[in-house]
Amino acid sequence: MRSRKKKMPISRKVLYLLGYTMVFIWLIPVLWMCITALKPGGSAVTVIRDLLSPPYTLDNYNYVLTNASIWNWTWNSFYVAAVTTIVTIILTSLAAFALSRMQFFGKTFIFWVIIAGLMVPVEAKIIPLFQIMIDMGLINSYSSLILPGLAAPLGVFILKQFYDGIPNELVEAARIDGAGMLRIFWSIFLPLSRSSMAALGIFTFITSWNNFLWPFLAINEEKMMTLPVAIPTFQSAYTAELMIPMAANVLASLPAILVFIFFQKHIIKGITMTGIK
Amino acid sequence: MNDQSRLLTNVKAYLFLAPFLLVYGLFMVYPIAKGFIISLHDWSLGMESTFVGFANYSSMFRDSYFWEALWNTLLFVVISTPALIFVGLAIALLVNAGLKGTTFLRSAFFLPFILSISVIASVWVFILQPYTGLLNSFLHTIGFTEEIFWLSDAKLAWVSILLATVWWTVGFNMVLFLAGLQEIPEEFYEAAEMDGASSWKKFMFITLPSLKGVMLLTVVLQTINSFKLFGQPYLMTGGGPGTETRALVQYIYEKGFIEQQMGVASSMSYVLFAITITFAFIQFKFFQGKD
Amino acid sequence: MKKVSAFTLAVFLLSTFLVACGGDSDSGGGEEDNGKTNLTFWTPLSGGDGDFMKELVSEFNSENAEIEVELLNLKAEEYYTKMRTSVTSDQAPDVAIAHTSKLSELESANLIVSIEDAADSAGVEWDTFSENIVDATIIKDEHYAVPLDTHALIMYANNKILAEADLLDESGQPVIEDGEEGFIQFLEKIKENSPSGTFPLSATSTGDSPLRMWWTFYSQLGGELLNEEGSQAAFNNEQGLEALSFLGKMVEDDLWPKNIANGGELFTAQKAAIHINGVWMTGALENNEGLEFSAIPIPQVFDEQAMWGDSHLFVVPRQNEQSDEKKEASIVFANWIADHSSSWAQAGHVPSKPSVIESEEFQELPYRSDYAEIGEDVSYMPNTPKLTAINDVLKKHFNQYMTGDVSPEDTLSNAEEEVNNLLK
Repeated sequence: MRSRKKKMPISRKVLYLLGYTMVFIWLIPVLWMCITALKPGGSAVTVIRDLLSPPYTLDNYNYVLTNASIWNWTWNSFYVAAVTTIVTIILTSLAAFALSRMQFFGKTFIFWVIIAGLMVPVEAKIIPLFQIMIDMGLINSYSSLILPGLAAPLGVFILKQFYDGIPNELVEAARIDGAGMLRIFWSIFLPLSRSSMAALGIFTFITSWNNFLWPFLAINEEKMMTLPVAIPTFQSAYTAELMIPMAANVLASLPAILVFIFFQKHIIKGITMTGIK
Repeated sequence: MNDQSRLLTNVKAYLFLAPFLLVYGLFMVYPIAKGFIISLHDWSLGMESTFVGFANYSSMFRDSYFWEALWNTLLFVVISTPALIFVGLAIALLVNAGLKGTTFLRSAFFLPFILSISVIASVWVFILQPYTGLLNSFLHTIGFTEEIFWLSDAKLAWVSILLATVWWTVGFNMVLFLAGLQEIPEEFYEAAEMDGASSWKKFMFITLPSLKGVMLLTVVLQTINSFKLFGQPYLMTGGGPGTETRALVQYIYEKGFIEQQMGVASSMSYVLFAITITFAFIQFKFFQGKD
Repeated sequence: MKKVSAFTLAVFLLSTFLVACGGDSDSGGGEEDNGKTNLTFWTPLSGGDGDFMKELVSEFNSENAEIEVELLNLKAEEYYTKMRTSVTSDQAPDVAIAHTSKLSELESANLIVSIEDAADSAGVEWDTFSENIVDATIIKDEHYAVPLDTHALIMYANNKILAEADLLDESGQPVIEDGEEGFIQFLEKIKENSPSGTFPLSATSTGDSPLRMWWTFYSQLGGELLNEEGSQAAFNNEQGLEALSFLGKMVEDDLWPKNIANGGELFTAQKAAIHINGVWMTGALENNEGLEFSAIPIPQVFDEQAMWGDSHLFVVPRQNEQSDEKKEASIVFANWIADHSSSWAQAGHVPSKPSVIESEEFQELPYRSDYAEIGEDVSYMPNTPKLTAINDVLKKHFNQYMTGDVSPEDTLSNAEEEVNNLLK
């Protein structure tokens, strides 16, 4: 407001220049990926002039769509991420409610065991986890991808923090009306914590969607693979060109980019809440 | 409260907890315990295992490749954490400066974070490759004729992995810092302005101190994430040249799944586990300090 | 009342979650369905190979009413790891491609089964295969595999670039003088007589390629990888050093520019005169219009002709309940593919059956007949259960050597020490 009266100060101009130059540099890899995928096979894609002038073609996309099960992998990724997210929210909200509002034997102990798990990365568990999956006969199945992600102490932690902040008067009032714990959970805590759950859900979904190491170990067959594992597998067959791998990259990223464009406000809010609250 | 109702409360509470505890026990507590047992055995998939005591640990400590991988990981943590914090804060300040198109700026910086590591790695490999890569071609056109081996020279390979990691994940830190910046009351700045404070002073005496909480959180989250390094070097350099960019997680994978020495791999996992738990304790110190 | 509802909710949630997780598609597959025997078939193919195999399999499926084969391609780097985990978790495919060099490793780890009986009942005639390839698939007097092909490292030359440098003879073949000097001079001439920016030699400087090239020249010098008992490394010697230094010299003289990430891409883009890679590149290179190239065996640089090579085989991975019927069907399938491998040869490989090599179909294929004789000169790496681990050690050290940071002497002695540790 204040600055509009005067001419834009130099520092402001510098800021604009800096901001937009950086964003441009930031977007180069993505832009280059998209343009390269549109160039016919064998053309030079490192000379900027050639990149920005025709010919362009959709052949690479056609090729990838007919030769790679992109939709199948996208579905696998989506299914695994969606189930993981929904079940995580259900399990962790129930557990967080008990930890926040109920008295029971061993509460402190259980709370600390869950909190301690907060910092155990999946990466440190791959060997035993793999053996457990083999014992359960689950290797190469959706379950093997979903189950380990459900042991999510972060969700319990976030939701418990939120539940702790809900005023006790609400609970007492409901009690007087004769509501049981489940009723209180269902009709007071769940509606109030909708935004926390959304935040947790978005965070869980992105983590699962981009998970690489575990699906890379647990899946043996192409048709069961999620996108992050399937894409390098598909690309490894194209050693002499880069248009087809790039087209595969674009197709694999498209759903995530679209979702991000439509829901970016929620996604960013979600991450903020998971991090800060 | 009588015994019966106490029992009832306990039962109810555990019913709420049961589903989560079941999954948590099976896929968090049990693997950690089992991992320790495996680390005491000589074992490969599909074979009988033999108890060997702590032999796996001693062979691990004698293995120079283990030390190299651990060192690589530590080095990455030490360099990438400040880099990601610094760049993240810088971008957050830029985005928060109230320029036109703030939403666009924020989205653009955040965009790489939603892409999969496989896509990131394959794009960067093509950008960075010698002779025909985008970056080297660009450098040639502006008159820099020497060929730079971004992924084949050990030091540059680390620089490349770092650059790709910053590009990929810094958006996440930016969002955390943005949230922190928006929580600083406008009055603070107005008061400082009346005192005639310079931008630098405002940054040093208002912005930075107000961000302390977010900063600590971001540092800890980032440290833990950097310890998990695997995908970037595995997909970009394969751990090479030689083994110079091989991180601990990749070595665990190779020991366990390729060399089929599950016992040694498990003992290495325990080192990673011990390190991350140590950082967990540090984090709780921070959390307690905050309240 | 409330107790009941809490309980119901818990049960409900648990069961939703179990259903959600239980909804997996059955990946074991292979149940009998409308009278057909369904087989799952794994391959580690890349660079065009995959497409040719896909075509062959669908051809087989349409011609055979009783057997239906489902092809699953995996990334070569992780193929054998996946094979092992699939056998351990009893999800092994019914039939799979394996390499001769891996056979004894697979057998000693109990990952594959003998096909002696199944081959008999499927009517396989072993004498229709090249004898040396079949011999390599016999372990303890039992057949463990149906051979498909031989493949080797060969040399690709860009005819346009060579013609401009005046290095083609009347028949359009590259003119290369004998010996180490001859080969270096050949590359020097390309360098002198080509537009700047042309790579005389483009072979990938990382991954398998340096090891395969070293093995080629080391074999030409008559070297062995291990001692006779297979208990110790035997490559840290004069010949090993000479072969490795030869690679280093080409890099030093800038004939084989340093740190090439993808030699095939440079050759496809017509930036390189010579490309050294496996025969499987032939199929991929052919698809590029405007690329005129020849494919010839790697010249004899040292004492005798030899080159790195391996062969593809069909193996039957171990399953807990192995049905004889499926085993037999697998062998029928394998044998059919071997018989029809002249179209597999389109990928570049040399078929395992002499009758196929002599067939018109194969002889009419361009390029392939130019290097069909490699079958006799291929130098296999020794069949030891530790070969993968040994190769990983060698790859690691040779890749580092290619960056120019380590001396050839240190490279070999470091690799020797680690290989000996592995064999202990």
